[in-house]
Amino acid sequence: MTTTKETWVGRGIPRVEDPRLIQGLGEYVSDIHFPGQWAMALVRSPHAHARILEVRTDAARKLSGVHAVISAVDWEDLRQPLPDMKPLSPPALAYERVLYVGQPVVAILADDRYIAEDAADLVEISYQPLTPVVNVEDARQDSVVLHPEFGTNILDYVNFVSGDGQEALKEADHVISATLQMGRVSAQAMEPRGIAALFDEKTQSLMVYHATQSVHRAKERISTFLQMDPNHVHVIAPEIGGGFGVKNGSYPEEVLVSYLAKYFAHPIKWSGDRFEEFLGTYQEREQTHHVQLGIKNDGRIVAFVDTYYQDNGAYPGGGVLVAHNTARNLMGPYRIPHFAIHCYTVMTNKVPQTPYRGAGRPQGHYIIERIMDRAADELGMDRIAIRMKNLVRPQDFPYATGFPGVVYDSGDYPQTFQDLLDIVDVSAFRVRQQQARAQGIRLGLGLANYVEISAGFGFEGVHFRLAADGRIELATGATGQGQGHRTALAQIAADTFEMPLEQIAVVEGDTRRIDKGIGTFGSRTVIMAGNAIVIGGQEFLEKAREAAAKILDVKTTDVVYHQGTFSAPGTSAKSLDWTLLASELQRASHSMPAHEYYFYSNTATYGFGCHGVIVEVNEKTSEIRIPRYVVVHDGGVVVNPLLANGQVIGGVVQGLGSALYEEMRFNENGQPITTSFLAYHLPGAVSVPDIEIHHRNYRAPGNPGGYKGVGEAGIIPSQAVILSAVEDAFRDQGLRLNYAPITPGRLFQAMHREEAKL
Amino acid sequence: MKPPAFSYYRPESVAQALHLLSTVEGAKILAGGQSLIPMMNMRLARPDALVDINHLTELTSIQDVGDALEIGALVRHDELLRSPLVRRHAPLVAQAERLIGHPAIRSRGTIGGSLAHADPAAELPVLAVLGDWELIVSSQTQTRTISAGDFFLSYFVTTLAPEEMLLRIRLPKVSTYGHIAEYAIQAGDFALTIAATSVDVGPSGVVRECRIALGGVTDVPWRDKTIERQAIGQVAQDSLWKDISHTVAEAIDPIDDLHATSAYRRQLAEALLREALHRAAQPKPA
Amino acid sequence: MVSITLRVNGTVHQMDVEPRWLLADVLREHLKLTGTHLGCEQGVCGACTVLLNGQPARSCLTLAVTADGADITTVEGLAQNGQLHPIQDAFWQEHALQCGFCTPGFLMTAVHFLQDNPDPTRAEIKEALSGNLCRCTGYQHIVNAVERAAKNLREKSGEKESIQTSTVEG
Repeated sequence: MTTTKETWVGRGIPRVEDPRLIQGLGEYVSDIHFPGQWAMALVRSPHAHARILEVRTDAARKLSGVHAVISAVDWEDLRQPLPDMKPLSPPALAYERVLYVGQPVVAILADDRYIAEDAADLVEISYQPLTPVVNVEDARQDSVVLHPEFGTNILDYVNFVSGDGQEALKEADHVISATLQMGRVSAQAMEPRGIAALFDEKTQSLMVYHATQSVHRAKERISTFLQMDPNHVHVIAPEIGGGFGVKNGSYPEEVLVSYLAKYFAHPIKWSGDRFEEFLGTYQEREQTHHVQLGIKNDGRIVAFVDTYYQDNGAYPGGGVLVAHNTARNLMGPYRIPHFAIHCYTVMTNKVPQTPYRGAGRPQGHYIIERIMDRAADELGMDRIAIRMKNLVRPQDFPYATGFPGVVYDSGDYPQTFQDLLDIVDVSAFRVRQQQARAQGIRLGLGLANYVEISAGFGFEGVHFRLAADGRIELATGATGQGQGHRTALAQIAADTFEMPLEQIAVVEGDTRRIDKGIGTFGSRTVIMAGNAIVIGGQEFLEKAREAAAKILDVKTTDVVYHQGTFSAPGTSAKSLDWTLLASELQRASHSMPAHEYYFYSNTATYGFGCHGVIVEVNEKTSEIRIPRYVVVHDGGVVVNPLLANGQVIGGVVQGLGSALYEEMRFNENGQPITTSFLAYHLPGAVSVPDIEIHHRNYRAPGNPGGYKGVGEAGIIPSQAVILSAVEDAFRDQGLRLNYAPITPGRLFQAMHREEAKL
Repeated sequence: MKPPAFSYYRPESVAQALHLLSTVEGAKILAGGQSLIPMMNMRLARPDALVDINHLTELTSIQDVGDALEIGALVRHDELLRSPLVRRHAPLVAQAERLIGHPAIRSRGTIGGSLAHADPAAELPVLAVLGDWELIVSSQTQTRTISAGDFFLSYFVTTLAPEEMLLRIRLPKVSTYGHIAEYAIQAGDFALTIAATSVDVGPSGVVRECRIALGGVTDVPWRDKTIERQAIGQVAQDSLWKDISHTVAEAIDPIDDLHATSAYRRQLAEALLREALHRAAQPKPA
Repeated sequence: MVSITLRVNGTVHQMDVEPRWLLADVLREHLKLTGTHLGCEQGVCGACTVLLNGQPARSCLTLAVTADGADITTVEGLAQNGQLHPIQDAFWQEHALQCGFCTPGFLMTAVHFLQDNPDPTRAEIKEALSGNLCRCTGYQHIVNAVERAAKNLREKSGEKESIQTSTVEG
C-alpha cells in the first residue's frame, strides 16, 4: 500500500504571525517605550554641498525638557566614520562638510519628540554653500570633487567581458543603440526607520531594539563604533514594518542612538518620521545606460555592449553592490555570446544608493528587455519572436552566461514564455487592440522575461532547542520584515520533525539566541535558513535521540524517532513525545537538547519567469490604466503558496510604482523636491489591478530543499514590461520611451514630441 | 513631524470665537484640521494661537432658505455627501464630494475650512466660483457677504481678514445640470486639473446657460464669463463643446509644476472640460 | 495642559494633555495603545486611522484636545471577549498583511466601510481603501479579505435576523 505523505511544505496556510498583528499587539520599534526614555531628533543639512562654518546650540540647550544638543564639532567620538561604508565613510555627525540634503549634523535628546523638534528649530548652523554636483554627467568631469582625498567622483569602475566583447559587434548585421535611463526611487516602507537603545551599567551591556534586516551585522557595526566587546552588545529586531533592502545598511542614526544611550546611560529612541525617510534613507535605481546590441538579420543576438553610470549619491552606502548586480543581470534569460560591460559608480551630492528590492536585477532586465524591443522594432521583427530566438533553452543547462559565477540551471524558459503567451492570448489581444483603436482607445501589450538570481553567498544558521513546554524552538539570524518566515520556516521544520506546526516556534532577529547571522535580503532566507533546518534538523534529532535514550535508559542506537515520538522497539521502554521528553529531562536535571547549524552555500538559485501586461492609455489625460497583469513564475519548491503569492503580487505592485509613478526628484541645487506622499506617489488600491499568478515549480538543483527566491520576481521586469506596453499602444506613432518611470506628465511630453516630429 | 506649541482656545459661541480672533495675537481658526494640521506637523504653519471651532453647533446646519441653501462653515464633507438637501439643490457638490480625499478626510474636513484654505486644486473653491456662492463672513464689528468670485486672491490667500471668520455659505439652488471631471495621479489626491460645468439646455436643444470653472490651472479657481456667453443660443452638441473647450484651453495660462507642465495642464483642461460639458448637457431622466 | 476626557474602546480616560499633542500620540504614548501607527503624519497613508464617534478619522490630523468627549475605537477594540472581529479573521485567512504596520488603519477603514456597504463590489472596496497605503501586499489580498469579511458579516447578520424572526414567531 502506498500513501501520499502529507507535508506542511506546499500548503498555503495562514500565518502564525498574524493574530498579534491584526489586534494591534505587534511591537515595532516605534511602539517600544522605556520608562523615562529620551527622544532623539536630528538637525539635517539643508544644503546638498556646503562647508559647516559654525554650529550654535545655546538656545536649543536652554529649552526646558532638552537634555543634550550634540554636534561633532565638540564631540570628537562622533566624528568617527560609520562602519561598513569604506572607502569613504561619513562621520556619524557631519562637522566639516555636508554632502547631501538630509545628512545629520546635530543630534538632540529631549523628553519627547515634540520638544526635540522645538530644539532642532533653535539650532543655528552657518554654512558656506559649495557647488552641488547633481548628475553623473557633471560628476564625471571631476570639476568639483566631492571627496578631495579620493581625487575623483568615480567611486568604482569595473568591466566585465565575455567572448570577444565589443569586437563581436562587427559580426552583427545590425547594431541597435539607445540611451536608457531609470530615475531614483525610494523604498518607503510604511514604518520609517527607527532604533531604541538601553544601556545597563551593571552588566555594561547595551540592548538595542532595531528596525534592521540584519541584527548580527548591526551588532558588529555598533560594537565597532562604540569600541565595545561584541558580547556586550545585543541587537533585537522586533516587528519590522517593511524593509525592502534599505533597512539593511549602515546609517548614522544606528551608531548615534547606541553611542548616546551608552554615554548618558539613559534609554534613547529615535523614530524616524516620513520626512526623514525621504531625506535620509538610502535610495536606488538611478542609472544611465548607453547600450549597443549587435544582432543578426534573423534576430539572433551576437553581442551586447553597455557603458553605464550609476548616480550613487555622496557615499558608498551599498551602491556599488547595486551597480555590480546590474551587470550580472544584463544578460537576462538570453543567450548572449559576447558582451562588454563598463560599469561606473559615480558620486553626486545626493543621499546614497543602497540595495532596494531587486538591487540591480530590475535595472539589468530593464536594459536587455528594452533594447530587445528596440531591436525588434528596428528590424521589423515581432517582439515575441526576437525573444523566442534568444531565450536559453533547456538543452543549454547548465548554462554559463559569461558573467563570473552565474550558471543557469533549471526550468524551461521558452515553454514558460509560450505558456504566458497562451494565457494572455496574444492573437486575441491583437484583434481587440485593433477594435479598440477604432474606438479611440489605445491598448498596448508588454512582455518580458527574467531570471531571479537569489542567495549564492555566505551562510545562515538555525539554533534548535527543545523548550520547557515541549515545543521546538528555532532561532535564526535572518530577520524578516513581513515575509512570514516564522510560518514558512516552521512549515519546513514541521516536515523535518514530522510534527504539527503548533509544536514549532521560530524566533527571528535576536543576537542573544544565535551566534551568527547575515540577514534577510535578496530573497535568501528560505533558501539559506530553510536548508539549515532541513540539514541541521537531522543533527538536532540525533541529539534529541541521545537525550531520549537517557530517559528511556536504552542505547541511542535503539531509539527510533517517528512522527513526534521516541521509542525503543524491542525493549521494554515506553515511548516519549517531545513534551514528555522535555518534562522528564527537566525532572532529571538533564540539559535540553540544543544544536546550532549553519548552511553555507555559494550556489545561487535561478528562479525565472515572465510577465505580460495590458495597458490602456487615455491619450487625452495621459493616464495609463492596467486592465490585466499576468505573471508566470518559477519559485522552485514553494513552501507556502499563499505567502509566495503575497511576495510576487507585492513585488509587482512596487514595480508598478517605479514604472508609473515613483521618482525621487532633485532640483538643480540638489534639493529633493518629492519629499512627501503628496509628491512621491505610491500606488494605491484603485490604480493596481488584480495580478494573475501561474506557478512553475522547477526544483532548485543546487540545494537540498530545492528552494528558490520569490521576493523579487514581481519587481524585476516591471519597468521594462510597462514601458514596452505603453510603446506598443502607440506603435503607429513609433513612440520611443527611454526613461522610467513613465509618469503621466512624461508620457504627455513623449507623445507631444512625437506629434511635433510628425 | 510634530506641531509647534500654540495657545489653545475653545470658544462656546461664534461671538466668543470672533472676540478671540480680534483680541488674541496671531490666532487662527482650527476647523477640521485636514489642511492646517499637516502643515503644522511639517512646521510650515506656526500659528501662535488656535481657536478651535469644532464645538460650535451654530455652524453645523444645512438650511433651505428659499432660493438658496445656507450651509454652516463647520459642515463636514461627509455630511455634504449624504445630505438630501444638497443632493437635491446642489447635486454637483454631492458629486464632487466623492472626489475629495477619502472617508477619513471627509469625516473631519469642513466646507468652511476648504474654502478658507483656498487651495486652487481643491474641488469646493472651484464649485464656489462656478455656482456664484456667497460667503458670509463676520468679525466682531461687521458682517459682510463676499461673492466667491471675489473671495480667492491667490494660492492659499483670500480676502478674509485675520479677525474675520467664515460663518455660512449661501449656495444658490440650481436647476441646471452640472458635471465635475478631474484627473489626479492617485485616487483622492489633489487633482492636477479640475473642470466643473453647469449647462441649461432649452427644450429646442439650445443652450440657455453655460458655466465653466477650472481648478489647478492658476492660483485661484478660473472662470471666464465672456467665453461662457459664447455658448448661449447655440445648439448643444459635441462640436460646440469641442470649440468651447478649445477656446478655454487657448485662454488659460496654466501653471507648471513637478507633476505637470503648463502644456500638459492645458491639454488636461481641454479634455476634462469637454467631457464635463458633454456630460452636463446630456438629457437626464426626469 | 488641558484636561480632557476620551472614551477609548469603552473605557473612559481623563487626562491632561498639551494642546498640540496629536490624538495618535496620546493613544500611543499615554494610553499605550500602540496598535494605531504613525506612517506619515500628513494624512496620506491612513495607518493612524481610528473611529472617532463612529467615523473614520486620521488620528495624526486630530488634536487630542479637539477629540475631548469623543468615543474612540482603535484596533485594540475590535476583538471582543477574545473573539477576533470578522474583518480581523478575514485579514488573517486571506494573508492580507505582511509587515502589518499599515494593517490597523486598513482594519478600521474596512470596519466602517462595511457598516454602510454590506455587499460591495471589488471596485467599491478598492475605492474605500484608497486612503490607506500598503507597501507590502499590493492590496489584492486586502481586497480579498474585505470581500470575505463582507460575506461573513452578511451571513452573521442573516443568522441574527433569523434568530430574531424565530423569536417573534415563537
